[in-house]
Amino acid sequence: MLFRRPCPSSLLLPIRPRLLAPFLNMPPRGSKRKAAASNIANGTSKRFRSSASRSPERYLSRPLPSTDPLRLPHPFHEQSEENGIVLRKFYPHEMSNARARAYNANELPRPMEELNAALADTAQERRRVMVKETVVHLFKMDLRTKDNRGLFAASETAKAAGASLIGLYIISPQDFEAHLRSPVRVDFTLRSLEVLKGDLAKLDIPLYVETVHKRKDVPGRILALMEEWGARHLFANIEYEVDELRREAKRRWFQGLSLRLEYNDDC
Amino acid sequence: MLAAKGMALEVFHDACVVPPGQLTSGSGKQYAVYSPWFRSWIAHIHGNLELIELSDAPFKNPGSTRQALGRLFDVKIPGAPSGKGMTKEEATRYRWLWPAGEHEAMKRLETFCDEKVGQYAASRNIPGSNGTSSLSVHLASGTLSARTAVRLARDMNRTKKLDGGSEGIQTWISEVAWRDFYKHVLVNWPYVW
Repeated sequence: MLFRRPCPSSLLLPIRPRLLAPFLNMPPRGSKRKAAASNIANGTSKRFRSSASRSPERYLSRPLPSTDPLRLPHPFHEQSEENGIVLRKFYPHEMSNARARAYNANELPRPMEELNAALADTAQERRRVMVKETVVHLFKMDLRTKDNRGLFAASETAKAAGASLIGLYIISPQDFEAHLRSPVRVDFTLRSLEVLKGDLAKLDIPLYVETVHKRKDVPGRILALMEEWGARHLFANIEYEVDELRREAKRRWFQGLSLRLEYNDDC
Repeated sequence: MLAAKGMALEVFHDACVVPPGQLTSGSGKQYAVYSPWFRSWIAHIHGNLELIELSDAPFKNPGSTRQALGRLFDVKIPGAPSGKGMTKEEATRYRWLWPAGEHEAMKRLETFCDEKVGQYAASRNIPGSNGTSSLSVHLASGTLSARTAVRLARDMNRTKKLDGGSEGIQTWISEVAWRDFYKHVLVNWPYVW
């Protein structure tokens, strides 16, 4: 059965929130302010470029305004954008109070609830998928071999079927930029990958690392690699730092997998 | 079955000791305050000890893997993307300050548990005392799991209860739990970020 429910598999893509406990009981306007230095976004200070949000490029790159009242921006959203707090290159505009209230009132499904629903919807189809030559574990923020739930489950699945396990890590420069990753943190990640690659190699498990420059291309690239490697199973650990509005990425992720399921149900 | 030609995505709860959504207050809602949440977190783990069982490393691949996928073993890890490079001096300094990977994380955790956790309750808030674990980058990168951080400390304690024995160990476990708390909050209130 085909499902097209948009689903929060942006859980597969790392997002680091600036989560501030004191804001928990406050209206969402303050809570949405991300602690981003104004000059990180593109190397120049946005603070003094108040016309930035009205330049033609920025205007044209924006999607058409939605008619959904819950998608209307926060009345003061331009301030946070002009001050470099919300990087509009990657993120939607600041959410309105009405939308935050809709989440609170359980009128909008939370990303996690959408993921759980998608997992339930696809449980049967997924159970029917037989292991082929390889099983892939996608490493994200779990750069270790020991006590890694997803990795161990992938390993068990591969072993039971006599298949090989492959580790995969995608370097996504746009994600580094969107998440304000510092050079020292990027360096730490790359060095941890070297250690991981060595540990996995001792178990005859390859760790394949590739840079994908546009983050919207990441899901498609992973599917292509899986086809190349004869893999039908992708394992990953959930990341909870959800940007619930990254629906583009979400749809691509689950449609990519589910459409194949549908196609094969017919054949 | 023909249907078996599709692909499957399997996702797992791993980053938190207690997966988000499993703890609710008396009225069935997400806790917004840490202390009652933490009491509930402790009780939940005590009742579900598998949550702090550590998973093994993966099994060794079949012997044919090297032959079939040999080229994948040879692919080098790419360098830093443009704009994320460092000078040689910086790289040397940071590599010395922050050794990477899970073995270094484990070493740091063991040193912390051997030397510092006893005084942690008092020393963690004194900036000059170097009393913290300095494990945050490992927990954030997943070179160390929160389960391991909790489990190693618990196993050193004189009780198996997470809220008993050494005050330092209790405080350490409570600080690691804050990482769970934030994620539970975020999952329930998606606009808090």
